[in-house]
Amino acid sequence: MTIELGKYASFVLSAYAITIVLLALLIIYVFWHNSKSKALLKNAELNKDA
Amino acid sequence: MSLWEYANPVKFLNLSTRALPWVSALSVICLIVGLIWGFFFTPDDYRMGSTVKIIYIHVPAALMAINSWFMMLVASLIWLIRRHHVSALAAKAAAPVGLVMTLIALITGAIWGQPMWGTWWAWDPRLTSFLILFQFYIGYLALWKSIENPDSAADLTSILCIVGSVFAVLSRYAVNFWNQGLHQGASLSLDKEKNVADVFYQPLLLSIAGFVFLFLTLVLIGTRSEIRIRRASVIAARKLLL
Repeated sequence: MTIELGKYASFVLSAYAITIVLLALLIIYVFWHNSKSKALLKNAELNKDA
Repeated sequence: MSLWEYANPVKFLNLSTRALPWVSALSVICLIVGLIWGFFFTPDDYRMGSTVKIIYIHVPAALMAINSWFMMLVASLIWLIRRHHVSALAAKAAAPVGLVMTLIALITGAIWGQPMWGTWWAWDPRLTSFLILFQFYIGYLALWKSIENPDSAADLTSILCIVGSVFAVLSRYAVNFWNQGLHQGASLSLDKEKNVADVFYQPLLLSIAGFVFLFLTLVLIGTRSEIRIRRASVIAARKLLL
């Protein structure tokens, strides 16, 4: 699949690349925060009866 | 069944467990189809050339940047009026998503502006109100981080959210009532005549749907995380008291 973007190729490609990188970072952050919260709650529940 | 039942964290967690696979699958499907359709299978615009393809990321990100703030406003008002913790935590979870959407809108707008307007930035009403909205997102997140008591943090961030809504409204309607500046009019309107051409409109709608479902997915996951963190801190506080 090829596409001819002409003289504006660098603008279009950089806009898409930056968007993909920022969305990827956001998704990674949300999942990292999610796993951190699970570990925190698990730890708190384990220590509750200790 | 009342909507307020989902203010109960357990019921919210159960509902979100059931909803998340559907919402995330819809997000992936709409984003992939919308962006591939828009990028590879739509023609160049007769004036803007291939830069028109930026519309499939810029417009959905800008829409979500504003609507994230409105969602946070509704959740903040629910917190202030009815004191439902889940609503305050949902507003907190939406803020990083809204921040990234605003950043994407600002950056892709600048990249689009350079070849079309001959400048990366102009102090145009819509651009300026978006920059202020971006700073409100940073301020909102910083306020949550800086206050230790979660209820006080929720109160103060809710008030900040109400104040920031002025700029969210300005960002949304600046192009309509401020007839000056470089930014073009709205790409989407209820008046079909004012919409972008059909060939761009359909993949754009799919991309917007993809961004909306992505926002819902990330906010649901984020809210679940915040509920767990709150529960862990309550357990730790109870243990200290015993």
